[in-house]
Amino acid sequence: MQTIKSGFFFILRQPWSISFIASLVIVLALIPMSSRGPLDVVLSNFYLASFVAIAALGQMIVVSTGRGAVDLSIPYTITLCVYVATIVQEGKNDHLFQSIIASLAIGALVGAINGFAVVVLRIPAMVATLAVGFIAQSVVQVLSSTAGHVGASPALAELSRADIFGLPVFSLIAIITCLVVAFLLFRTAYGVRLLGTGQNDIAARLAGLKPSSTRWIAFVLSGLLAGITAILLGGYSGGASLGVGAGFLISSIAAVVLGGTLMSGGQSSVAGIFGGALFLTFLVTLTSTLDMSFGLRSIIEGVVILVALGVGGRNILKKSR
Amino acid sequence: MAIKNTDAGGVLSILDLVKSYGPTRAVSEVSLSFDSSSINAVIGGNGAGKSTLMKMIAAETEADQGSVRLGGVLVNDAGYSPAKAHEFGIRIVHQELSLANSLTVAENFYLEQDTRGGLGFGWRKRSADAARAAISESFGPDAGISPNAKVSNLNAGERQMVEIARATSAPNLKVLILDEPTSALGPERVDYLGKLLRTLQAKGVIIILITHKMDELPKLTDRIVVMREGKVVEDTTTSETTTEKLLSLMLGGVEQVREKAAHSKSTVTAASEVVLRVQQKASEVSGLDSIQVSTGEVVGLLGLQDAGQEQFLRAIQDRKLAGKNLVLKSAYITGDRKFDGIFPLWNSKQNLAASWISSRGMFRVFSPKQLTELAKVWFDKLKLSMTAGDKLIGQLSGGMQQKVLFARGLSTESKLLLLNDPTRGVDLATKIEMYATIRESAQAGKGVLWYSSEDSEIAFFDRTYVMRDGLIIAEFENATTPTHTIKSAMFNGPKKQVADGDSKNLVKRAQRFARTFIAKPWIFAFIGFVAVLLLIDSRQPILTNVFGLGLILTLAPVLALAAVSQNFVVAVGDIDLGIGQYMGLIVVIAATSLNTNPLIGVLMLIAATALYPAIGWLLKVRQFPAVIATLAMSFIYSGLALTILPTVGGQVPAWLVSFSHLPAPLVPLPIWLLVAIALGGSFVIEKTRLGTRIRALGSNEQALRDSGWNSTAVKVLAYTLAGITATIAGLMFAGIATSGDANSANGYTLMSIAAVVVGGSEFIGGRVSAIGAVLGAGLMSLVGVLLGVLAIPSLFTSAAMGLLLIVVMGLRRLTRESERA
Repeated sequence: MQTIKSGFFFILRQPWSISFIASLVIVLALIPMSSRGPLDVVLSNFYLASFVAIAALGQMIVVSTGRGAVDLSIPYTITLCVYVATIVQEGKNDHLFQSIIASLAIGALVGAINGFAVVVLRIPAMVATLAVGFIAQSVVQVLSSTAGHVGASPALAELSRADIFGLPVFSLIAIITCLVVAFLLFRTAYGVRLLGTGQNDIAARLAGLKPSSTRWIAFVLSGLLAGITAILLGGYSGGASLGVGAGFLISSIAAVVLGGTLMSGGQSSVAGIFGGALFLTFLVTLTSTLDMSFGLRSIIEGVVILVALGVGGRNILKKSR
Repeated sequence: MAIKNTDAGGVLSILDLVKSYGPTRAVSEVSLSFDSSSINAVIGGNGAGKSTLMKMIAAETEADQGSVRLGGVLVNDAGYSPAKAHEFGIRIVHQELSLANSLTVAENFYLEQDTRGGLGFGWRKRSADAARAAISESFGPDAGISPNAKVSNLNAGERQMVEIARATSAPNLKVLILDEPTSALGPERVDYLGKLLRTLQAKGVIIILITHKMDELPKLTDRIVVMREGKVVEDTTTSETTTEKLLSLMLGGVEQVREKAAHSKSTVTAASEVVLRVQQKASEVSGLDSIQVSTGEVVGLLGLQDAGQEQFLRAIQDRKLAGKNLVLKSAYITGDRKFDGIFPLWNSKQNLAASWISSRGMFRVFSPKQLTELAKVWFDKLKLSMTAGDKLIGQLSGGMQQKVLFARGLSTESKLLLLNDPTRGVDLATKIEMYATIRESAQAGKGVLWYSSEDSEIAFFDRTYVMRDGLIIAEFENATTPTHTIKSAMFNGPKKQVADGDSKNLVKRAQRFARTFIAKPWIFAFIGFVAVLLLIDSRQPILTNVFGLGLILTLAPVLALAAVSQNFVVAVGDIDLGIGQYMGLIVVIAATSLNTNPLIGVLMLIAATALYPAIGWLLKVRQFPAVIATLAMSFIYSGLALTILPTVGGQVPAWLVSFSHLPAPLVPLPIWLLVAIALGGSFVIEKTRLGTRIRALGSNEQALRDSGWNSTAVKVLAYTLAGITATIAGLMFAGIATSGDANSANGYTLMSIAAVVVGGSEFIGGRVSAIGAVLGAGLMSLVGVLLGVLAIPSLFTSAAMGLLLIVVMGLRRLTRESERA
């Protein structure tokens, strides 16, 4: 009994606990309202959360570099990569592998440009990623005007609907990605460099943690993860459209905030990312189940982030000094 | 210690003051009293608690217990704050300067004067006069500091002078605490300071001086209090004591260790290897053309504060000097733990292991077991208990944190150890252990370069280099040189102090002139704006005649207003990612309620505007990151807008529409508007009292609060200004758009940020320029036109803006760098 109790409090003290508890609350409200079975409700939301989770992992890595860094280029990178992937696929399966490589390469390239602007030109991350996002947006517009509508590979679309023992394949990919990122962050030298850089930039430099290359790589990783998101998203939506990545700006940031990652950098929570992504998806499902207007949904999303900041904000105060 | 009668007029008495940081007792039950018209010195080694004690008196640090009374009145009650201390006439000046760097000297004087009231119209001139008078009264008419100089352009000595002058010019000054006031001053200014202190003493002021310079004591002070490890160990009249006696009191048990150290010197032998050799230009100042450190020796690096020792060590560690010099892999151990040492979110094991893990390569995997093993080895060596390993580093005492940093530095097996004053704020027992560790490391084949601010540590060096103004000016063999010879080299050498404002400063002044007038922050935006206009003119001259300009700049005033609004937010160090959506909300209100029911419409506009100060308050009180909070607000704004008007439609009132068609004399209306917005915005942020406070908040919040201002109120007011400006921008946009669309203004979020950034404002430090923001807005508005003229498809508009942002920011960064070099 004692161990259960202390275990319970241990979980409560974890930064990611809030997002899972909040998800649980919503899901309990959602199930009686839904016409589908409880497992079905959870799994379908789990599926939708996978996209946000992968993109948010990238956002988390960038946020972890500290100094208020945020990657505002993520939505544009995703849209760009969806276009690149579907254009290479041409609605067929022949170039599926090439399309994956292309999408990842473009994502990494955008990330590398972000990194260049932040590390070499020393432009604040916010402005740099904004500017790079602008450029990516233009490229997307050129692509969409020249390529017209192209569909995704049927095999990928097939895969997007497949599951293994009930668990959607895409969700499995998201879980594996989370595990890989968690390993990178907590078991490799790069993770130590990243979290050290985020806590104290100057100390990191003088302790040999190489914050410059660490930052650069963080942006590249964020771009890569946007590329992965784009491949899955292309398969899910069956093709590219101009607004396909738009929602990922707020949702990636919200998942990071809700998940208990410190916005000031230096502390990441991979589990929290999944919890945050789940919560956001449940919230969207709930508001659409309740048939709320688009305006009202938007207001609720904004308020939820402010409330999450309020709850997480206290965490920040406790942790620093 | 006898406590004097607390009812006596003007006596400052402290009783049982206690302050602990974690397990460290910085000050333990100190009681002292200071008579009016007295000059007292408080001395002691690093970490003796003297600064903490003074900060408690001046309300900069809250005492755990104990009381501070002035003239019998309890001063440190529950609400004791720096502002309250000022009201009581208690002032402190220390090295963590409390000036706002991006403000001018006069504006810094203003921050304090205005809280005392009586500054109305003409405040700028009056502040400047007050600054000039105070500086010349304190440091002589030739002090050479212009009231209109930006503080960031002053050197350390000049800043110190401004700070002291500002504190001493307070009309109700009763207690003046100076923490190492002479560390950055030349001898001439120190003489002035001596005279100033005597003048103040004659007026009844209690003066308390913290100093490390023993030779100044007889000249400057009447009484000396010696502290060690948080306690007062001696309280005596200056004339009745000697430097030797004071030194041994300050150091306590270190004497024996020094004796021992003298016997265990290592010598450089033929087998020694050079681990550092740095060339420098030999000059009239220094005959030395290179310095070197070999394995087996402990080399000291001495100098006054700000002489460049820390920068030198960091430059070595950063391998900035590695090019043509010999620099072996080094480890850097700092005593400024919070600034460039510890990682506060990690426990001490992780703090220790960071360098070791990182040194093995970017993607090498490590296990928690390896981490524990590494910690075990080093914790054993440095006599740290393993239980400390799992504690957050900040929960350990200063001495234990320092041991962890030593372990980190030693764990990478570097041959060169760079020590940046590593015994700062460390207890005596740990200090002694560290001296042994340093010597052992040298004997085990490392070369040590050790910057120390503690005179007594000179005894541990084999050789000593002395630095001044960023150059090594002298070298001494410690075995054959008396300590005082080494020390005096730090003070009086061939080169004059920079703080002396005479003919040599002409070059400096010319540089300053150039910096102020040629390198205005908005210069890039201005050049860009003119260049784009010329480009357009060369292709399509019809667009740049008076009529054409009015046409292509129609929307520029809207963006300019949005940029000025963004500028207010940037000035306090935040960013507004919701302004475009907010303008959309205003457009929707204008197209619906304002047209159908003007009263309700106006009320809605006021309510919307009120969201700005509300979010400003929230950001300040809850410490939200502005990026995320305003992003969340953008959803709320557009949600509200969509709720009011779900589809495109509505009708903007005719009077609002007709506004944009007002007849204008000479040049088209948009140009008049742009000029008015630039001048108005610039006036508010640069020439008004509120604008000055807003910039002070962005530059140095502590300085603003110490001067008695409520920083939350200032932030809320800054957001109020931003809100009002954004509302006007939204209304103006509505007048041009004529119908409502919640999403029509979304682009203004990013464009306003771009305009502000291109215009030369910076996200940190309160450096903003409204003129720049408006020029940036003009430039951004012309980008689309330029692309059209150059026959580039409009698809590339946003790419052009993105590139422009990167190029301008990159260029600015490069010019900054060359300026610094």
